[in-house]
Amino acid sequence: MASLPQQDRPPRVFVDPLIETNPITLRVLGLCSALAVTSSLVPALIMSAAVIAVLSFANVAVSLLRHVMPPSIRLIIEVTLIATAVIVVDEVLKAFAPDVSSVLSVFVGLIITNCIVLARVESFAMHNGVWASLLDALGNGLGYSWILVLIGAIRELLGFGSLLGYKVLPLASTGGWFEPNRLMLLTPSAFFILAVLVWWIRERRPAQRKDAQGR
Amino acid sequence: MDLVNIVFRAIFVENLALNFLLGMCTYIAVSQRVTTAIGLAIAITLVQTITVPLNYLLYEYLLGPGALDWLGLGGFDLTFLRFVTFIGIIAAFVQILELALERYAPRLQHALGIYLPLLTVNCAILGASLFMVQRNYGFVESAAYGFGSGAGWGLAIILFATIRERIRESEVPAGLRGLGIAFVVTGLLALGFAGLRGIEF
Amino acid sequence: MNQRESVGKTLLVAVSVAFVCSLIVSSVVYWLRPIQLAYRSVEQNRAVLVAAGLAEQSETLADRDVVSRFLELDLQLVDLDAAEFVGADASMTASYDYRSAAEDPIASRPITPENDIASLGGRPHLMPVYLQRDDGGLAGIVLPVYGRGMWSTIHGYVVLESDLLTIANAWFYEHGETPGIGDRIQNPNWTTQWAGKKAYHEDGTLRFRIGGPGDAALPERIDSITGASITVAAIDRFVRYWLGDDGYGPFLANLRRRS
Repeated sequence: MASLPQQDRPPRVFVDPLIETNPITLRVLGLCSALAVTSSLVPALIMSAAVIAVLSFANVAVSLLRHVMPPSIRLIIEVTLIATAVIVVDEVLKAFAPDVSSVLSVFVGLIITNCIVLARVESFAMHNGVWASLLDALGNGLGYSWILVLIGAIRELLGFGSLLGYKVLPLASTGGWFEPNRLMLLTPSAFFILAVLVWWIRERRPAQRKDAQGR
Repeated sequence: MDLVNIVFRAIFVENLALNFLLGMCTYIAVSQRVTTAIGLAIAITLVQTITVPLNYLLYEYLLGPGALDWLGLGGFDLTFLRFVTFIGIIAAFVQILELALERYAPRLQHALGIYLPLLTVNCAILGASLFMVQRNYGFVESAAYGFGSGAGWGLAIILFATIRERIRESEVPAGLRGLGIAFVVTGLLALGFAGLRGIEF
Repeated sequence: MNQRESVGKTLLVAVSVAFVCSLIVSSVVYWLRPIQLAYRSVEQNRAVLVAAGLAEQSETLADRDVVSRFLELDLQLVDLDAAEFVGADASMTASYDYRSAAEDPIASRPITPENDIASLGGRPHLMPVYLQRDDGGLAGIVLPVYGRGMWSTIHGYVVLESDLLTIANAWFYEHGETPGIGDRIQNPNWTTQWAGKKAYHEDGTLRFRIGGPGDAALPERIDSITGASITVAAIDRFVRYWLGDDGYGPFLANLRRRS
């Protein structure tokens, strides 16, 4: 993967992951729990909030402990901290948003294995201060989120004609002109939208492109 | 027939990679060469077949509601600990697998590189165990599901790797090269598998 | 690096992290469990609200509202034979299900034939009760009751006022009785008859009756429903059982004595 310079001064730490070093489109991280929940906007939003929460907690916790962490159990401690955050988020969702929680089902638990969290914790929080780690978490979280929300919005709009559950486009079945695109209801559509998104970003930022061998 | 159903659906209809989009990081990263992909497919199938039933036992006799009945502590419901404990089991088994590969198949272990220990945090492996809990599978069904889900993921990555090797010869637009075309191909594969929905024995 | 790798240090860090994380996770789960469980039994909780007067029968409430109103009630478990509250913690109380307890030979006990006026066979040791509180005192109590009707098991709630003698309301939320006839037990015109009737005499003896022919003079009489006499007679029997000495009777007597 191409490695782009990432300046560590606070504003860039937050801003870069939004496009320049976006975790999904550049680093190919965090796809797992991303695409499957994007069939409509609400789960995408809740999932994004969950990931931002977990990422922030994990980054801050690891950053606080980075000087006392014995190398031999480093990975286990990181996973434990991440798992703690995920358990808390999962329980909170089950208590205050049970309908969305059942839609998201196992995917909230899978945030533990979400590559973004582990990658940021290992590569940034282990070597940087608490404030910078928090910014990094927020930046990466938002970088992840806007893509998720965009895909969710497109899929819900074209697949159901609604956004956040509210009818936006008049459906043909109720006398309107909009014929919902059934493909959008299937998970492969998330891939296609993502491909177009990556294409668009790399047309604007040629530095992110691969050579002919795909490297 | 029930077990056959579970395996068939796990491989084709509810494929962890192409239907639930789990394990994508490793999926995209290790599919550059078919031989490595085959090795990873075998590794994952092995890990799944062992860890899913193991996690079932853990859940049934330790964590689930009323699980601790045999200790006379039936009032406990430790379901919320499933995330940590499942990963523990998976981590332990992946470690064992690593040692075994180092001994008996060092070339494969070298080829898989960091992606072998990364199986510990592979969404697909944890996901299968979580689905097993959600669907209330028994012990034998867990083993069948473990095998099916692992084999399904393996099948997906092998197919993907073969296509990717071909694509290297094609004229892909600059912006789509690498990641973009990988997504498009995966999407088409997923679409193909979606056509198998509804098949049951 | 040597200094960091010492076994003692490693152990200390590992145990501390494990301890702190366990603390966080356990507290969150313990605090949130009653809310989560309230969502699982939303339908039943809604029925409790209707009985307690916190919701209208025809009102459509979002699950969230049902849960938040429901949590205003004080759910307690009562040991019927000991005639006392069971001091279980919130999590275990919220997850108690009297229906499954009724099927469980360990969680229930048989009823002696002379006490079994409603032919229930057995009943759970513990029953959940819902206390309505106001300004520190008891405003009312919601008691679950159930029994065999003509075709089905009828589940309902009888609500007593703060004096624990007078009935405030009754609501039979679940039944499979004859459509159009038996389901008139859910008709407000019938259930309002229950309001204000004395369930007990001042000395605590049972007074509740749904009247049959010949009881016209009794002030506590609740009319039966024409055409649904079997269903209503069944309700009469099981409500008398639950309010009686083998049911909530002794517990209510204790509660009255204390307040």
